[in-house]
Amino acid sequence: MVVNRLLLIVFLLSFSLRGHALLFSVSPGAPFVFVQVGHGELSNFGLFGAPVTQVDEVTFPVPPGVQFGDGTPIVGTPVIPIAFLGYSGGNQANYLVTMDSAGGLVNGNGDVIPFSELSWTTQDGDIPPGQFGNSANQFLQQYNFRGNRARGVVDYLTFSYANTATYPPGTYLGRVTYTITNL
Amino acid sequence: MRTLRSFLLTFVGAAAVVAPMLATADSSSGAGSASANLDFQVVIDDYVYFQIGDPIPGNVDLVTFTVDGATEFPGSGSPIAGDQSMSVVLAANSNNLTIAAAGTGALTGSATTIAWSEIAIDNTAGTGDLPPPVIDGAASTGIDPSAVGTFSDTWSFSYLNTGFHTPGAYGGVTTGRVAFTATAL
Repeated sequence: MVVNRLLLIVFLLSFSLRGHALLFSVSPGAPFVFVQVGHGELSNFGLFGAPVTQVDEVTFPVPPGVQFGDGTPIVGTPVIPIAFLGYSGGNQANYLVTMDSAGGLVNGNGDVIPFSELSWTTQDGDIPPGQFGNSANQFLQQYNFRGNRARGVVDYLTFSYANTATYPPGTYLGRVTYTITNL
Repeated sequence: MRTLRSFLLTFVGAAAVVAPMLATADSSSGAGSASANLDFQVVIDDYVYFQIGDPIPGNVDLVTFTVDGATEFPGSGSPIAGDQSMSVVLAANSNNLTIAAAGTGALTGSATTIAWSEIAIDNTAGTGDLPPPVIDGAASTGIDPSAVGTFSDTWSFSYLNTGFHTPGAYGGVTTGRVAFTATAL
């Protein structure tokens, strides 16, 4: 990657927050994209400091009085910060953010809860609320940008388990991959 | 390979504004594409939900059989239908479901008692998904052993009327109760 050759100068004084959109001034260089999913104190620039490959996990504790499959949504914890950033090097950029939730959540016996049982709301609306679609290439967001700045989006996602169906007992695990691509 | 992350860490460190970092997150950067993961965990415990009649927990329904002598002779052997049927719901997320029924003592009257074997249950008016048990404490069979989910049925009750008993009210809320138990094996 050529980032190391870039004379990127990030002017914190030009750090612009509009909602939780990010806008960085940088010197001309090669385009890049960046994604972070999980905790890192985004508002304090921890966005760029959190460890790579340490994946956050959302769990869904069942509140008292709620029965499995009774249709009462179960809110996940913790709230997940998520950030996308792209730098176009001054050229027109078209950033696409997609999600891969095709694998589903699987327990030790091979039973599967489809990811469509999970939905999310967002704190700021910079990332749209939605529901996983069980596909490998689900659209989340797309935006265009041109300029010598890196532009990104930060938001905080709260997930919910719909709890509308009955599934065999077990611990179900699944992973969603978020991808930002400069088209 | 230096990444945007490392570069910015360097910068932020130089600016002496490093914030405390939490321990988890996935991130990556790239020239044209970058991906990060998020894991999910849903824990589903074993559970069984069982309802007969009134869905409010603790509310116990009463089924009454009246042998009035005018329409059916006592002890004739002609069954007497109960005054109401019961909706039955069984929801479970494990298979191999069974239902057992046990009477609490006998149907006690003023001078004699009526055995629980005189009370029969059938589901011919329902879906047939929940075969009723015999009131003898033994578990029933016949529930789809491969199914996981919610079953519903309607149970009807009959007094077989094979014995002769002195007039009176037998059973009731204290001596005429049957405990139904659903079990997921």
